[in-house]
Parts: sequence; C-alpha cells; structure tokens
Amino acid sequence: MSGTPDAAWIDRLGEALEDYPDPAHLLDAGGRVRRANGAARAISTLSPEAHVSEHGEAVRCCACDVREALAAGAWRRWHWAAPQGTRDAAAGRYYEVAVWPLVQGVERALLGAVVAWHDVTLPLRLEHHLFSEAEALENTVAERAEEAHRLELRLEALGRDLVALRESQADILRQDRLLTLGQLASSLAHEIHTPLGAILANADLTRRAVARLREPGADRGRALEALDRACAVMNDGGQRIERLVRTLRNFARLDESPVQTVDLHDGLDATIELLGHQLRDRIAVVRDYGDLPLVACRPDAVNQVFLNLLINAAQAIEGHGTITVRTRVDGDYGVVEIEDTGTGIAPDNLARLFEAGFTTKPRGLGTGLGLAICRRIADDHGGTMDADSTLGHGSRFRLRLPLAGAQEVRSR
Amino acid sequence: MSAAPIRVLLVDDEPMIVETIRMILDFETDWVVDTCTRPAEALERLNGEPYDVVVSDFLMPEMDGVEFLGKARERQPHASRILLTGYADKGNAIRSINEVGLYHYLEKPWDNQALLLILRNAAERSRLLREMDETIKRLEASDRRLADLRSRLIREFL
Repeated sequence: MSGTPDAAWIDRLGEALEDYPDPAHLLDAGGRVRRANGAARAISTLSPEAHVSEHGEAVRCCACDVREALAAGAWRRWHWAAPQGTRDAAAGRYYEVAVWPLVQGVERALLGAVVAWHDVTLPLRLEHHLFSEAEALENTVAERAEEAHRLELRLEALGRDLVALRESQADILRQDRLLTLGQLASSLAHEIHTPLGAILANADLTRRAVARLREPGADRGRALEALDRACAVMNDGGQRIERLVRTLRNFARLDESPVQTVDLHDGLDATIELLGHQLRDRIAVVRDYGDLPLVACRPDAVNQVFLNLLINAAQAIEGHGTITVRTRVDGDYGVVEIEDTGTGIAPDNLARLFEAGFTTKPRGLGTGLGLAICRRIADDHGGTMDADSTLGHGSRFRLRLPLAGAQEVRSR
Repeated sequence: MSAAPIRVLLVDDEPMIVETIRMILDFETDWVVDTCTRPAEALERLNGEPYDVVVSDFLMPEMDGVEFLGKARERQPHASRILLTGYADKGNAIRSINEVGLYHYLEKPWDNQALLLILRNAAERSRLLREMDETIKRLEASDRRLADLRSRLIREFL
C-alpha cells in the first residue's frame, strides 16, 4: 500500500471487507455507499445513507452522523436501534455503528469511509437487565434494612418482656416454695411447741422444788422426786427438739453436695415426721416400703416432691383418713407411690393436673405450681410423675426415678 | 364430803404433756390425778367415779377436745371442763365455750401459776356445785319429810 491510495486501493479494501462477519459498508468521500459486504447485503435496514426525520430515543439519523465524521475526518462511534416492524433480521436490535474516514497525506484529503455495524443487542440487554436487577436489589436492601431495624426494635421489646416474664416466673416459683415451706414451718413450729412447753413447765417446777428445799422443815422427799422427774422430762423434751432439728437438716440437706446416693426412705420418713402435726391428729400414715436400692438424686429436690405430694394428700382428706406411702422396684426404676383416701380428682382436672398454674385450691393455699415443679424435678432426674384418681375415693401419685444413670441429674 | 380428795382427769395424746401436768399437781396439791392419752379411754373412766376437773387437749387423733368434753359433760355435768389449746386453735376453743359449757381454756405453753389457779378454781366450783346439789337434795328430803309429817298429823287430829 505504498504511494497514493486510489480508487483501486479502495476497491481492494471493499473486497477485503466482503467476508467480515459484521455488516460493513464502504463509502465514497460524499458519503454515498460504494459497496456493502455480504453481511450488510443480508440486512436491508442497515444503511449509512438512511435519514430518519423523527429523532426518537432509539432511532438515529445515520447519514447525519456519517456526514459529521467525514467533515471532521475523525472516527466516530454510536449506538443505533433498528426500528421495530422491519421485515429483516435487524428488527428491534441494537447496533454499535462505527465510521472510519479514510484520509490521505498531510493535507488529509478525504477518500471515503468504512462503516461497520456490530450487533450489541445481547450485551445491552444484559446490561439493562443487570441495571434493573441492581436497582431492585438496592430497593430490596433498603427495605430489608428497614425491616431489620423494625425487627431490632421488636427484639429489644421482646427482650424486655422476657426479663419481666422471667422475673415474674421467679416470683411465682419463690411464692410456691414459700407456701410449701410455710406449711412445713407451721407444722414444725407445732412439733417443737409440745416439748418446748413441757421443758418450760418443768423448768418452773424445778424452781418451785428448789425453793421448797430451802424452806425449813420442808417435805424434802417430795421436792427431790419432783426434781428427778422434771429433769427426766426436760431431757426427753430436749432430745425431741434435737431430733426435729436433725430431721429438718436431713430434709433440706443444707450442708451437703447437690447430687447424692441416698435411701429414699430416709427422705420419706423425714418428710412424714416434719408434717407430723398436719398428719398425726386425723390421718394415719401407712408405710409400705419395699426393698429399694440407694438412688442417685438431688435429695433436696426429691424431698420437695415428697413434701408437695404429702401436703396435697393431707389437704385432699376431709376429716379422718389414711395416706399410704408405698415403695418398690419396677424394672430399672425405683417407684414411690403416695395414695390418699381423700376426695379424689375429677377426670377433667386429672388431665390438667401437672399444668403450671392449674389449681383447684382456694386463693392463698396454692400457686398451681406444686405438681408442675414435681414433674419437672422428675424430668430432671430422667424419671416420670403420674397420677390416677377415683372421685370420692382418693388419688394415687407415682414418682419413678431411674436406679442407674441418674448421675447426669440436670441441675437447675 | 370435803375430806374426799379432789380428782382430776388429764387427756392429751402427748404423754409428755399429761406427765408434766401430773408432776406439777403432785408437787403442789394432794389431788388424785388420772391421765389418759386416748379420749376413748378417758370416757371409760368418766363412767366410774366422779371427777372434779377434766382437762383435755384440743387436737387429738381419734376425737377432738371439744367433742370429748361434750361427751364428758353428758357423763359428769358437775365436773369443770378445761380445754388445752395450741396458739392456732384458740379460735376453736373460744367458740366451744358455749358449746360444751367450757369453764376455761389454757394456751400451750402454759404458765404453771395460771394452771394451778385455774385448776384450783375449777375444783372449787365443782365442789360448790356438788355441795349445792347435796343441799338441795337434803332440803327436798326434809321438805318431803315435813309434808309427810304434816299429813300424818292432820290424819291423827281428824
């Protein structure tokens, strides 16, 4: 391509463009089409000479652009949308149109131009799609952020509610424990009252006897006998109080580790003794104890179950009656049954017995948690708690504790 | 009549309590003191010799003190009835004052001085009631003799 490009050179360029895969046109210096390559001939819509009077959004006047590029002698590139409804393959497609003016020498004499049409429909659509996706995504992100904020506020409120709920739950648990302990305390007070009263009366008798001994000509024999007997009763009374205190300590296990291997009969005996006052005067307690091995458990919790069941049994009995405390081994479980000859439980109530908050006791006598707590203690030990009852004849509560594997008692 | 010793019956299911009261009475008085730990056994005794004072606990396994004292009243109306109560049963004791004609109630733990005073007054009241009864009987007997005499006199003079 040495020397001056001429018409022959332009023709050779046109021939070279013939097999180029994109549509291409070779123009003369006036902007008129001298040659269209194969791809361009297949699509009649593509024309660098086309004038489109309405300059719509996707429609452009190719002839105008070509003219401007030729006038400037510099290449130019733009996007062009083929109008809808044309009969050829271009209908509705997008093209990147590029025009290269061919100039010659330092004076830059215009020889012609090449116009090439590159179909960019797919990347454009893709880009458009990505843009709208991104926009939608941005909107979604904003919405989510707002929602997250709302959720955060709601979560905060729920957190506050939960704290309040936990506090009130703790209050109720504490209240139930206090009620049970209150009953125990009143029973214990009564149990201590008798020996204490005897000790006080005998202390006074001792004073009287000593005063008598100091009188001249007193009946010394009678005074000494009174002293003798008073000492014996005071000793008995003191021992009885000591035994009660020991039983109470045994019941509460105040000074020992939580999980221990114990004889459940000890806990039953201690609980029955502590409730002596509530039981003895009107209720006969029958102990039908079987051969029970030692059981690993939390004795304070298990004794609380015994206490709850015995208090319930005593409250179910109007007037005189019997409570039978039965123990036995059933497979891998130790079973403790507490049966009363009380009023019994209506079938409807029986189903709800272990629900927290369910109570038929008058206000102030029950929180409705006693049996729910019993069941939870049984659960914590890997055991079970159930009841059956005949209205008018009495009820039977059954606690089953695993004999082995109770090492993993859940602590609360 | 006054030569016969005063007789007291003590009923409480706690042996420690009846024993303690018996010791105080043994030391301070020359009374005859009988003790029971079961109300049924005490009712048996009330079918026998007369007592001046019956003291009963309120809370007992077989029969409460108010019911027991009611039955004691039927058997020996002149005996003074005293109820021993724990602090919690005070209300019941007060209600039963009219129900069983209670002379007094004593709260546990009691004061020996008060116990002795109340039991002495109760014994005296019972003795007075019995003496009054005897006097009324004697008066009625003389009245009958007088009426008899008068009718005989009238018959002889007519």
